Amino acid sequence: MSPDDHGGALAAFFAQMKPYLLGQQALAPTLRALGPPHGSEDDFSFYRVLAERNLFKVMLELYGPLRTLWLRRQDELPAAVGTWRAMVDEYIAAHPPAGRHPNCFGEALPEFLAARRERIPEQPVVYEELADFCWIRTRAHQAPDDEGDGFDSRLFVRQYSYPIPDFVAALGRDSQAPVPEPQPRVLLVYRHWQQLQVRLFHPSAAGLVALARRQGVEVPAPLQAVPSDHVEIADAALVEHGVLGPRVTAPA
Amino acid sequence: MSHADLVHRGLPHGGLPQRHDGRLPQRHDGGLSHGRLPHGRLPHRRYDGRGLIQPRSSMTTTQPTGVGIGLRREHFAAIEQCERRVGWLEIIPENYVAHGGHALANLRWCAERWPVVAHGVSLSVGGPDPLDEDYLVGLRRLLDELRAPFYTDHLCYATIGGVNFYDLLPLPFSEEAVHHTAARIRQLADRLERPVAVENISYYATMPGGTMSEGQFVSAVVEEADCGLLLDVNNVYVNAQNHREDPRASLAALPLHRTMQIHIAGHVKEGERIIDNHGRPLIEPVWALYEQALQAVGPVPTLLEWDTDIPALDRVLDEADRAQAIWERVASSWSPSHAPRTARSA
Ligand SMILES: [Fe+2]
Repeated sequence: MSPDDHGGALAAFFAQMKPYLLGQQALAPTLRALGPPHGSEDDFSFYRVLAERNLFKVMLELYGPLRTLWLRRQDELPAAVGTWRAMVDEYIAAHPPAGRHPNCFGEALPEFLAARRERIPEQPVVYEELADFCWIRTRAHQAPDDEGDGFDSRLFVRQYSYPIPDFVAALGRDSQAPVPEPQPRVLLVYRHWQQLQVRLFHPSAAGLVALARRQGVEVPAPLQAVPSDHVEIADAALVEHGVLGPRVTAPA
Repeated sequence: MSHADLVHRGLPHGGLPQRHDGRLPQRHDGGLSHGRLPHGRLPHRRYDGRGLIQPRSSMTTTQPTGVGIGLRREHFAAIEQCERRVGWLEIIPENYVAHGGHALANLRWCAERWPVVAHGVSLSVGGPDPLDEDYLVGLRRLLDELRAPFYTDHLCYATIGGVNFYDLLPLPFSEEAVHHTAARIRQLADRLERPVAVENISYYATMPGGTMSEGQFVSAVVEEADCGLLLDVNNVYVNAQNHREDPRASLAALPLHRTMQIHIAGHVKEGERIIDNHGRPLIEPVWALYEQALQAVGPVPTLLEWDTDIPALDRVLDEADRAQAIWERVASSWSPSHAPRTARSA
């Protein structure tokens, strides 16, 4: 059955409830189409409250540090940046909740914020970097076990312009923690392949080459001069830190 | 109760707890004593969990008995250190299918020690979207690994046209919804190759288009699906309060003879409404209703749900111990010849 099928009253019920619960259709036309509720309209409309509450709760739990910062700064930044609530409403409209696990609902937020900053340059870069860090940390924690080296699953290579992990920790201690000075640095966010904890690591240039070789991607030009014995040592260090598992095939 | 309260999101505190592979937690099988006469008010027929699909004959299942608790991320570390009676565990399978890492490792550790059953929140058995066959393959694999004797989910919908509301939403209590949902429960049990039970949900509004009461609706669905009932006693109480009904009458209106498992939980008041948030201790009227339910259905496995404002494991186990005492009291006066066979024989 699809809600658009002409399958009878039940299909018609779902066809009305979907836009209503998403906040895309008001109560009055919904009840005109469905007929009056058996109880009060207030009871019926409580489900719209619950549906919205659930989505905001997912955003809070996935992106708590970002929310803390956004709420704190929403009155001091240009109005175009908008409130946390307005941004989440925009996000819901652009990415209606899909996917079995509620975390799926939050997956597109980092990209959404990056695209939003293209339209609203006043939106700070640190917002999308915070969102990205929160997301990949959760993703690394939950990723399936059997995905090889786990690139973009349990292992993420990032270069943020701010020291994001330190800032997240600072916000956890003090919601008024100042935004740090920019400090671009390459960061690995990964789940230890054996011990299963999510950890952070700052790789050397040789480590980046080792990662590129493991991933089978082209080594960036500035790094091609790194001696291969350094790369071997760096690869072993990545294994020792649990970033990578032992190689099963010889490196290229 | 929403999915948002039941799933794993951020990181657990600390790393992987230390293993204690040489030590088994204390076990307690409930002290069921046989031979005494049962209380009155027995349903005429009892559901044995064999009406629809039986677990594959080659599969040895682990049977829950007595009172168990939900396995929650907040307790991963504590449960591995726990010396107290845990009984059995219920998981939200959505947190494990296609997931890995610490949560899955912890689950496997627990499954070596206690019976584990899975209670889904996202299948939307009453909903319009086709059941997700790929997910069901992963779910069945997990249930097989856990040697889970049955699977439970909710008599509700959650998804429409690919949009997931992450909640347990009530259906219209209509004949059409009965036929639609019952057919899908049969399909679900077929895919999972084991008995399925559906839970009576808490509902805050009676949806337009219905023609029957909640009790009639739940009864019609489980009879037509030939499935089990996961009797949520707190939901019975919450619904009765919110809809100004007598909880005992609401309980009696459900198809109690099909009960395969019971849920008990706490709730919270929000304005005039009682919300089933699983975030408080049980209140006395729900304890009383639980005992009444047990006397009606026999000593079926009971699960204490605590999913929001989750306290320390010890506090949850204190509450479970109180339920266990009631369960043992009822079980001790229950004739095994009348006891539901579901959990023991499935
Ligand atoms: Fe329940």
